[in-house]
Amino acid sequence: MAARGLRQAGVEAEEFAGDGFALLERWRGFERVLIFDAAVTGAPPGTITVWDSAAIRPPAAALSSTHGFGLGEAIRMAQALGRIPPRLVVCGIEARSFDAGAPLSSDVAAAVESIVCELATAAGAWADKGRACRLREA
Amino acid sequence: MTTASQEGRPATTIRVETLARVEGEGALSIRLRGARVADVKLKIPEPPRLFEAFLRGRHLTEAPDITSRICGICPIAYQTAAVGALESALGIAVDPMVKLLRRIFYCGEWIESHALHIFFLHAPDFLGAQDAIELAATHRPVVEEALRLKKLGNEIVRVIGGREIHPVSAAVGGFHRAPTRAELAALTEELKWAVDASVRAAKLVAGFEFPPLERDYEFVALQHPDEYAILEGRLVSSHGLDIAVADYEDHFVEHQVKHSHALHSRRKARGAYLVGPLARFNLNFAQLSKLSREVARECACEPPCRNQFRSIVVRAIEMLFACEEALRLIEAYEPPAVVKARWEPRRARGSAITEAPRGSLYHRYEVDENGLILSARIVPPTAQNQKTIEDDLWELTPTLLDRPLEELTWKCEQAIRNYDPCISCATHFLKVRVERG
Repeated sequence: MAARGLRQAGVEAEEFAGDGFALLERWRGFERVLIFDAAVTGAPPGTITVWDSAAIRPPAAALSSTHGFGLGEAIRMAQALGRIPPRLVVCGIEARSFDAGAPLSSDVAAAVESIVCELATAAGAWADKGRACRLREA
Repeated sequence: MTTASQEGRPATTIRVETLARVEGEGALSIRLRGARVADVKLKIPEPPRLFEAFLRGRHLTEAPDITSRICGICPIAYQTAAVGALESALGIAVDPMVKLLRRIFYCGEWIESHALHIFFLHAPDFLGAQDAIELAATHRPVVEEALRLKKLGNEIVRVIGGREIHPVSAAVGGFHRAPTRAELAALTEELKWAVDASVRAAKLVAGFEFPPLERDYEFVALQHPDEYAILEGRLVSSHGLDIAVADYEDHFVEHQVKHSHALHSRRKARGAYLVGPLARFNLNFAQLSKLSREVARECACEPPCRNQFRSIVVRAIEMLFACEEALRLIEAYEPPAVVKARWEPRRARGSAITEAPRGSLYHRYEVDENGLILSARIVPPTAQNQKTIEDDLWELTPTLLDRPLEELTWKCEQAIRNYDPCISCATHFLKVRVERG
């Protein structure tokens, strides 16, 4: 939803649902990368939390799966290999439900809509300076 | 130094509550009485996933997509076993190019899965790292190549399957869509690089130090007269088994044990057995490519290889083979004249085995005249290897009792990782616990 909204605003954005380590290739060559993902921090659904990669220290040995690597492992690997973009920001949107087949809740949809508007403007300013941002749809 | 045999005498429990670098939730409990191993239990507390029950009442066309959800790293194994069993049931003969395309598809899965296990899950054991990310700091070029190999495997799966995780193109009778020659040819240059990278990988891991645990395993794998079996053949073993896939349930039985939500398998006539790369390598070595056989010999890894710790070398050799095989098949590929064969539902029963990266995967379905699934049975490789993993630990643990407890525990975990167990598959499994008492 975030990716679609940003594309409509003329911002380069793509959806991604594959192997987390593939993100290292997706963001290769980009100066600024913005990643959207669902988050669970205990905050109310729809709450937006922003983390800068420079401050992200995903815990070691916290893999929930060894056969599918997630965003945390991708960031750790990129940091270890020196392949982290100069500016990488993770935008976590607090989810209400992860039930199979459950629709997007209204509070989460409203949060996405509001941040897309805000980010389209900011990303437009980034684009003016060169390359645009990328998004991961939550 | 406190050794495992002195620790907490006379009774010690070694517990690894969460086994690292295996897929799913499993635990190992080892009970020691003095210098004797009293009990070994590979525990699988991960809840049953009930896929066989989900399939009942669904239309047979849904089976490849539903079963591919059992595992994120070997969905092609599930898809091809499902379509193979259903095509057998319905008497469907698929286009020869569909068969060829499925083998390329499977090579992609072997490349991504073997690269993952060799470099990200198993190599850290031999190189003293906690995980692949820690390894990246000390062996950056190796990890860079690993990422590139895994990416290539994913890409093969994406080109043929529509997406890299849980691909969507497999269908009963063929594929929903077949790639063009150009789409597959675009993979050629990267595959040529991957052949060289796989040779480097095999030579790297062959230099690791392997604990000297050799056992008289009964190796079980598919065997085919014309090729290194992946998708079809007879099921054979190192101890005289030679059966048609349709007779699998006459020779193998699953049973429940208290400590595992995954069923244990045994061959009725002999008991525990081993499926996976080591079994395939020992039974079908002659059908590997010339280069794969040469590299195996250079790595001092030739059949009979009875040390499961050396399975990391065998995986590298199979990865090399898969790259060469994909190259060869892409060269021969033409889009199938019949991408998806037509068929009519009928009351029938069919089975298939394919060689998943972790070993033989059995599927059997019964369907009715409307194409609805009446019953399904799925026997994944990790479930088949469970008892053999426990047996390895019964033999390995006594050889390590003079070692510090931490080292003993690490080696026991490593022995489990030799199998690249996929608990998610087995429950459709890790935590370690060593106990003296």
